[in-house]
Amino acid sequence: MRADTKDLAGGAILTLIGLYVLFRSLDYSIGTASEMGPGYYPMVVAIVLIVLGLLIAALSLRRSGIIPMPEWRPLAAVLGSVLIFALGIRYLGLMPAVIGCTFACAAGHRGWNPRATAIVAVVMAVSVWLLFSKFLGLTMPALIWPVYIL
Amino acid sequence: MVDLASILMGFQTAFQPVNLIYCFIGVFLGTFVGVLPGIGPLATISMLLPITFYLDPTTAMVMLAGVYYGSDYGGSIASILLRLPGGASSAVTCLDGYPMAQQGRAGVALFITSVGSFIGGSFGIVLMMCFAPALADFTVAFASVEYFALMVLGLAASGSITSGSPLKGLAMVALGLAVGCIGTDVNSGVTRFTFGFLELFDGVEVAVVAMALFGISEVVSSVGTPQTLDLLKERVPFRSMLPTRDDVRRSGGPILRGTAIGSIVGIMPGVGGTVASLMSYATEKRISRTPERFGKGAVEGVAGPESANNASAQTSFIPTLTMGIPGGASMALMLSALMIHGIAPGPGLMRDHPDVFWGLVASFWVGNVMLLVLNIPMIGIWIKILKIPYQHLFPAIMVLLCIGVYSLNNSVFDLYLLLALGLTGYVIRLLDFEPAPFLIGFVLGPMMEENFRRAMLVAQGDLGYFLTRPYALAMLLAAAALLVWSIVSNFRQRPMTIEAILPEPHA
Repeated sequence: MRADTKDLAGGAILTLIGLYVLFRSLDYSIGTASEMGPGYYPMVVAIVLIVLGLLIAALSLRRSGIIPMPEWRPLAAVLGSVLIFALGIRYLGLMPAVIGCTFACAAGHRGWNPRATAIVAVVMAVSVWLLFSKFLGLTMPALIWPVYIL
Repeated sequence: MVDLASILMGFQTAFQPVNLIYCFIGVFLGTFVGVLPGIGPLATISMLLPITFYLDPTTAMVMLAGVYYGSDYGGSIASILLRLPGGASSAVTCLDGYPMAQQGRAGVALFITSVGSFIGGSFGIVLMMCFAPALADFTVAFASVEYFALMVLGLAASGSITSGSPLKGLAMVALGLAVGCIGTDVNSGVTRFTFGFLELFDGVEVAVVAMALFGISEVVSSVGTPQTLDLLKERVPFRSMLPTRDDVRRSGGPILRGTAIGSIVGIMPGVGGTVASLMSYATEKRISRTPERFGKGAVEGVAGPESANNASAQTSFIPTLTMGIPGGASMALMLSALMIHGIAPGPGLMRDHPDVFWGLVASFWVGNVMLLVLNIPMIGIWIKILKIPYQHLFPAIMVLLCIGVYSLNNSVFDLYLLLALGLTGYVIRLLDFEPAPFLIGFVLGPMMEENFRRAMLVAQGDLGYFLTRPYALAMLLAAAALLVWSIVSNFRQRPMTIEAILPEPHA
């Protein structure tokens, strides 16, 4: 069967999200058009979403196409750098978070230079701490563990 | 008509030292991120949002607006010198700007760009000064019915007039509306779609959504692209910028036509600068006696779209500030910046906060002068920025993105949200959907629900009520026409895209 799998997948995902929103909105009270409950507007949005999703999926059957492969390495590196920053700032402090984030993102580049990254990471950690913690006065301790340094 | 006293007051506000400084910071940062590939004005504006909490609302808006129109200038620099468009709207500039650079005429292209942008921008500002008050007077009589209709029209336009498939654009609007439902319903106090997370009771921060959709997913695709360092010109001496008499003769018409096209396109709610540049390019090519020169370094192909782009950048503030309907994703962020400061955008803005409105408009002009004066001597700096290795640049950007999100509420949860929405944004791009209509839907969603509710309350649930309100009816009919057109065009020819204008981009 001929189909543009990219649009087929997109339409299917949107339809599923729409269905989820529809069923959840039925849990909230719908009310009437003149006195809408909290579920009324999400229900309308969900219906629009489902209709559009189905239309996109249906039209995708008229032509062919493929889903491009994701770029796994940059994707993992960038999302990983957010995760490392989140965990770092929660448990270790701003500086380790920045250093970890820098390394994780740099590792996404083909042919990266870890030594140069180390310099960038340290420069970033210090300047970010000075700018946000010292100059702008945001509460971001430089280190939480093993010692607490504000 | 033209309110000279207010304009004067605006310039007084804009010339206050603090506003001048932040205007400069704005246009400088804007040009900077415009030059850089992989991070655009949207991610920058959202990173700056937390800082604007500490600023006076006028100053905050002056800076954010500077980022917005400054990035257009920066985007054209990268387009001309490297064939690397910083954003979709400057992609058109690559078509003839880069061939000009290949012929050793990069300086002329940059000069014409600056002058064209300045003329386009200035005209847009004048239009704003003349028409915004009239439009505000007109919309001040709007009730929730008209607002609802206006929002429907704006959303329909932003979804269907995109560079991709209109149907997919509309689907993104709907998805944005759905995500906008997350949080506590103001009328009933019921929490919706919070998945049990306490942190979601207040809804999702618009800055997080913007940074995820436009920051994370752009960085992912940039990290994957190898850096092109074949800069055509290491140095652009001032003398090489002077256009020949022939260039001036050829550019005049395109600049004026581009300005006109851009001004009209910018005023339409929900339509951004990309459409303006594309339309201007197509027009110039069509009316040219020598269309075969286009794509091979025709100065008209740079002058027209750049003027159109900047004119629309300015006039897109008209619907944003007078009606509260954003002209594009960046405008949607501007709206939320205003709302952070407790200022409701809309017809009341000019009445209740004339200093914000007129100060902002005057600062546009100050910022455009700054860009014109600064850009020519600073080209060398921008070229150096283009040479920063990506493997150092993008980690630094990621650190700033993460800190920006964290500092919003000192919340690690927001970082997890950034992660989830960033992945969503990547999937959106991978499947050829556009994130901009998503953001517009997300920002307008809660306002639209509120007006929808009020309108239906007044109408007592009767849809026939719309028939008795001529303006609302006209806007809804226009929206319906757009929807029908977008569905029909999906069955017929390809929508207007860069690829459709340029047959084959030779690498």
